[in-house]
Amino acid sequence: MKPENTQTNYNKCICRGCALYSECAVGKGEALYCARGKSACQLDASKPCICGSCAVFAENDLKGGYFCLIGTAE
Amino acid sequence: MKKFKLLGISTSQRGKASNSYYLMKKAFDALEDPDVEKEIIVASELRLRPCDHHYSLSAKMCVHPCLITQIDPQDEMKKIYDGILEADIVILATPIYWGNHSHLMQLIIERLNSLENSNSAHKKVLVKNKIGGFMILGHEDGYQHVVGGLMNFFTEMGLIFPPQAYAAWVGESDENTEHDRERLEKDALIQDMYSDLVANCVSFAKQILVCSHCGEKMDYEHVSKKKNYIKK
Repeated sequence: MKPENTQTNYNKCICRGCALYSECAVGKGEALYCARGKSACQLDASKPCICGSCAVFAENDLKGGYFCLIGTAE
Repeated sequence: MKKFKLLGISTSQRGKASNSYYLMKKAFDALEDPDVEKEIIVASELRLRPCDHHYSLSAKMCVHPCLITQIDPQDEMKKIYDGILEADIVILATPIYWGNHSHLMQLIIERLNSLENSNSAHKKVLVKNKIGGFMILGHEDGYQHVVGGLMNFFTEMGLIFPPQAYAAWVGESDENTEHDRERLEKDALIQDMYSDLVANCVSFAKQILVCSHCGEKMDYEHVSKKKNYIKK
């Protein structure tokens, strides 16, 4: 289930602590990719994703990860 | 008559120069059956990124297509996923190194978790109605231990095994491997053991995957009971 794009979910989101999260993403204020869609920045796809340990992931019964590269969750 | 697809996956780092590939190719060539399409994937010729073990954060992260397949265009594991999903018979070959299967076999197993996990975590059976077999080759260390470990994973993934689902040869209790190829080339008994495995797997597939009376294809779906503890 695609999470809602809310401030509450944005605050819960742990993307900002992820190894993929770049200076570019900081500058654009990106996060909550599972709800908002993929990043506009060039991210390092060789780094591991941490989406599975996020409350937004569990609460919305998400599957997969790398939403910053792939796009919103289904 | 149904065409059966026989897939071999050779996991020696030495690729086509390896004795594992040599025996697999020889055994596949020995099978002359117009009902069987044959293909061998040489794992060392593919770019295979190791598993990122996202499963350790959440089993729900391990999906098929694998996340690496989705995000890394350089990665070629899709050839192995597709090969297995399209095959009726899958035979995997590995050398023994320090008592275990090859590092490429281990990499492939960890990446294949995406197929296994589809059943146990996502309740969707992807690997079904496929026969499995193994080819093990080594020196001084035990093949039964290796095949036991491999069968453990591949039965979890969903392959069905005939009796004695492996062929194996190990040299003496020494490290002199210089003359192995010469011996393998000259010893018809060793080659027969490997050819017999292929023939047995194909024969077993023909017996159980298609009804010999009505021609109906088997469609058995084994849903993982023991691991479907993930409620959501």
